[in-house]
Amino acid sequence: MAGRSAGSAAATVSPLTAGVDRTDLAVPSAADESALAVLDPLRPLLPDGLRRGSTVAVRGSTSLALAVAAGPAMAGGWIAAIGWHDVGRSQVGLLAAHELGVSWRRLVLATSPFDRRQWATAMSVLVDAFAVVVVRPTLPISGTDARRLEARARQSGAVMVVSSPVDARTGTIVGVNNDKRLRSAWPTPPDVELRVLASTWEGLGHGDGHLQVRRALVEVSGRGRSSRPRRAELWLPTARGEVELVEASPVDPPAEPSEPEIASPLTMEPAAS
Amino acid sequence: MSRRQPHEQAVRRLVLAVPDWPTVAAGFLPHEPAAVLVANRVIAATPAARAAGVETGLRRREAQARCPDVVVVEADPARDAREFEPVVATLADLCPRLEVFGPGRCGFPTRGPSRYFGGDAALADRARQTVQAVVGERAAVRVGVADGLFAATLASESSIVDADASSPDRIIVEPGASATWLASLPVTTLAQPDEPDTDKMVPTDLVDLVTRLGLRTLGAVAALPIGDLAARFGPPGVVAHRLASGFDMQPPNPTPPPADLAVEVTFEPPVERVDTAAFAARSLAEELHQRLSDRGEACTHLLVVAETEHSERMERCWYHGTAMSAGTMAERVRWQLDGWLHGSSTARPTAGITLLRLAPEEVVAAVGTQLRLWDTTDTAPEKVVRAVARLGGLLGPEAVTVPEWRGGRQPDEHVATVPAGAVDLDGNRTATEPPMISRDPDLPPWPGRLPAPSPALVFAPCDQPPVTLSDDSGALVQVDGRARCSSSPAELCVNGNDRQRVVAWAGPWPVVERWWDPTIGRRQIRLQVLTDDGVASLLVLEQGQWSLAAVYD
Repeated sequence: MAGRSAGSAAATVSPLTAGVDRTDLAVPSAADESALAVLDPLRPLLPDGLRRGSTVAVRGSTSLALAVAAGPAMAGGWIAAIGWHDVGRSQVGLLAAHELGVSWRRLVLATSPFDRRQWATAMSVLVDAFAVVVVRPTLPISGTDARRLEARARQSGAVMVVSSPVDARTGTIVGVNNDKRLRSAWPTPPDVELRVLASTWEGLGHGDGHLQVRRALVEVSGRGRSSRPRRAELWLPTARGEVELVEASPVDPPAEPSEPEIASPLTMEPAAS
Repeated sequence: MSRRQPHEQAVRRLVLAVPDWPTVAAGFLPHEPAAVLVANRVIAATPAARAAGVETGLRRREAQARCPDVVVVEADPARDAREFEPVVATLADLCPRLEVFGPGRCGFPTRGPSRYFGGDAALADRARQTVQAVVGERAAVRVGVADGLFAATLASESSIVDADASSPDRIIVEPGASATWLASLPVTTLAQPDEPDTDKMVPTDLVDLVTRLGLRTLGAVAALPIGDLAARFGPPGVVAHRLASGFDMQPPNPTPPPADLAVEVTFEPPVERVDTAAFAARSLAEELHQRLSDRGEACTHLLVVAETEHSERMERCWYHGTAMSAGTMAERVRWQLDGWLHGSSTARPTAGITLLRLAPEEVVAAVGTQLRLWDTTDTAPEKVVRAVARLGGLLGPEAVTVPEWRGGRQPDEHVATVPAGAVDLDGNRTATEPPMISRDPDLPPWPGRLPAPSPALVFAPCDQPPVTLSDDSGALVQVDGRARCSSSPAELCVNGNDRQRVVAWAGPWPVVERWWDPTIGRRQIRLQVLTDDGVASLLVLEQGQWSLAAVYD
């Protein structure tokens, strides 16, 4: 018999498999591959998936960060969330996360410690164990901490998703955190950066209707293979709260040099109304 | 598994069951068609649903096809246990040595009580009437008395026995007659498909194989030599033979475990919250599990004792068919405390908990549980469990949580976060996912909830930033008693920041909740607005003040 102690009661001895240690014959799983899966609608943006050990910055939309984490979650990966449920500021809507595909069954939430050293320790524990760590920074992160965590993530194969919301007023409440210090959510350049360039909501009238869908233009840029920016239009979310590709996309980036660089996620204004 | 002694005699037991308890705990009456699901399969259904053809094991769609009106809800073992607590408490008055097998089923050895009440029949009737008085119209209580737990359990199950018994609500198998009574029953009763969690006594595939081999009744299995079953199927074969012959899974172990195995923790200051106590129970359970496995033993009967500052005491004995893991023990402690602290106001303790004690009542040799080669369940990888424990130590038990569905109309109340240390991450956590609910927000279970898509950022009520909402003329937008806006909103200012123009809005929707209780009642107006910076928000008006409740980010 294997060395497992009397464990889960749901699994009992099966006469056919008794005596075979499951660790001897591990099924090749997504965990062994070099990239984590992404949801189908995000494939035009991230054709290679999420490279293990990479850092993904998502700017301008919490839903987009959730949609990025939903791919590995659907594939059976465990997701850690830090800073989602802190007192004194907005919290990530868990129902929205569920609608986008982040299963609650494999989701663990940690509150963000206010001490910088503790935050770094907590992060390193999460990065060691989970497939994806979705971070909402509460403190300014030092460059040293960030580099150390990146190295740790490369070692363990975890993906860090750093999310920053659309504007300052939702991120923090006056008196708890100083907005300016949070301007750059992640101090070092991330491997991949996704941002919402423009979005329009549909469904609201003047006293009638209700919010139904949002059409969002998302751009991805980054280092290495993903250095060429890609764009796609997404329903983020659809009327069921999921994410879908808008047909007749992607929109190629213009031939001109590029859009004016957006200095900060906190001061970003979506281009279209 | 030791060989059966020729003179072995199974302990005579009474088992009391409320069929389809999960539906009763969920608040459905027998005439309402409803079913409770685990992993999209029906595990319990009300009599009305069963009459329409809904059976245990059906998929959700099949159940809805057979009975279109059926209301389906997700299973919630914690709720089942909490609701079952009054039943257990009543029965505990009758017999102190009560064992709880799980929500909806409990029992006790009958030797003493039966003599006291004047025979098995009198005892069974007494137990049934006592519990029926508590359950009332919600369900029919059934009682079975027989030698051995397996026979007594089957005797208490309505689906097994037809109307041939004189009193359909109780079945009493004569002493020594368990094997003959069981002989005619189908072999499929060995595996209990409706017990998702605990007592899957014999693996389903073994039962399938035995059926295909032509052994269709328990009598046919019992007639085989036990050695042949052991040689062909190993320990499960022995268990199958023991059960079919009317014995318990394990030979009874008359030596009580030494008292020094019990573990306890005292709280100073007293603990008021279930979560905190459950977190302590987790480490306590791990300690006990470690002590037992050091001796090569595992626990099947666990006595959980809790005491409060005012010396109120509650003890329950929990029974588990297979050896309990640390997570299983911790979960049972949580159920027990949940039922006690959130029970009816008469039974609720008046002070915080000061002592928690776990004592193994009966132990068996630990044979280990072999996981399947390709396990499909969502077991947490060991490193995740370790990371959760480590973070709990680093940041405090309250800081590491997992979401659990609660239901509700407000974006902040339909989900609760439970300390991850207090739940069994390895186990089949059923209440963790929101149920499949209708897309129409006007339909039950929470009419008036927010329609999908849900907001990605929400504010807890204490953190909602105040906003001012004004119309074109600069006057504040007000809402009258008939939920009509005084004027069209035109400008929004959050927390004193820059003003944004409102380009579209919807509402106002009045929400009046729990008006009968002024302390928890809520009365508010909701409004969705889209401002010209492209941000869609949910505003609420409560006690004359608009505030930002959520952002569709």
